[in-house]
Amino acid sequence: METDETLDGLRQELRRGVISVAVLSLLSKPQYGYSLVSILEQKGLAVEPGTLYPLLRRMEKQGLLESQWDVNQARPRKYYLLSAAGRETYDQLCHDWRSMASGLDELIGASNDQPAKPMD
Amino acid sequence: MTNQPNQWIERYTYAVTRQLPEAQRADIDKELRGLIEDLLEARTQDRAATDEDVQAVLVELGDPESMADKYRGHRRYLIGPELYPTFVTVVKIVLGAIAIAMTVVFVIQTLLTPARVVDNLLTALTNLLQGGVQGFAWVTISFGLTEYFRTREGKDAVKLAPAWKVSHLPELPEKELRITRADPIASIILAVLFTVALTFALDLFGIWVFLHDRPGMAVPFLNAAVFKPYLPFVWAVAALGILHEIAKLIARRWSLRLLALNTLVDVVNFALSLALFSNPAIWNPDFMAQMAQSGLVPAETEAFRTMSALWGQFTSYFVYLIGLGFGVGLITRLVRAVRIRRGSSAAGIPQVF
Repeated sequence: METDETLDGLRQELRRGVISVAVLSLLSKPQYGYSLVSILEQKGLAVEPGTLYPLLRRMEKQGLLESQWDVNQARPRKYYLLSAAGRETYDQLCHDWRSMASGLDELIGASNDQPAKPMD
Repeated sequence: MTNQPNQWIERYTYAVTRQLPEAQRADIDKELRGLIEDLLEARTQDRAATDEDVQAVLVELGDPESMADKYRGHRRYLIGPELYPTFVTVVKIVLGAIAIAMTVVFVIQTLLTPARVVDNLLTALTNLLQGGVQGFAWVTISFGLTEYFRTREGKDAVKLAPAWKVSHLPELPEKELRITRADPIASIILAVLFTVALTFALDLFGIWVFLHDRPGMAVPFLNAAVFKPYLPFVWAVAALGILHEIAKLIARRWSLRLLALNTLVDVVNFALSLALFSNPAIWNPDFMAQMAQSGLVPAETEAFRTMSALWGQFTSYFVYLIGLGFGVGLITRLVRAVRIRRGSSAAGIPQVF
């Protein structure tokens, strides 16, 4: 039971940062919240709307995103788009992600070849 | 039946937005409605949404409380988990001190007037209840304020904090700047005892006379009728004092901020004492007559004349005693401030509690 909780906690921590990068990656074109939910779900990065919507709002407050209500459709939707600062941040994060991912791949690959021995 | 599903949505968005800042409510409300409709559409495709659909979608969105927490970015507390243990300690101390004070008042009053024991007991119980409620309320208000200013500060700190250096590590507090746990706890107990006695048994501040051949009698120093209007100020000063002791209990070492609060408490205390004792009417006008009546210093004796002279001097010089106390406090604070400055100038940053 307790290891399940631990695993859930670690998973959540791991996903939190990844989701932010994923969201930024999708916003070079304007998207509204629910379209992001669907796209992320298809990519295996499912995120609850209750997490995503506040996240978008926070990123807008931080100046990473700009938003606009589209009232021409059947129901009004709030579209988000990367700001100039958001684009810069996203580029930097991509760079960080690639170096982290390749480093981690090496580590995971290494430990898969030689399963870690218990410490003496 | 068509109204029912919409009503759930209304209630849901209301439950989330009512906890959020006014300026964001309309926008978040609109956004949530859009989201709920999108989720419904995905769920029902082309058929009309039923009540069950709406309920399922809302359950999927989850508890509006935690939704609001996420929108807000932090949880709201009257007294947060960091302060709560100290809060419980202080509540216990204050309620305990009130109970002890009421018991002491009751015992002494019963010794002085054994015939009115039932009356005294009833008064004591009523006062205990009132005092307990008052004490609890003031402690809660103090902690609520502390929590409020802490969270507000925390938000600013994120923006303003300068780059951290090793030299910013706090100095190990000098022995003289440390505050032991016992100091604030004892001060809170004393403040409560004092306030309870001033409120419910002003007579106890006086001379108690127990002679073999007469009933016990207390000769009060103060004139109750003149003193009574000042009581709300006494409570306010006591509450401020307890707030200061709570701050000490949390910080556990002297800082310039804590000294500033200490100064405020002392100045307010000093002002109230001056207001009280610069008015000669505050003293019991019949003190000497009652002393004579008590049998301790019968009138027309040498002892009575000496006592009269002493009482006259005591009442006219008491104001200076208060001033002396204030002065001593001032010097103590100056010494502490110098110590803190010396410590923090080495680290190059101002001390904050």
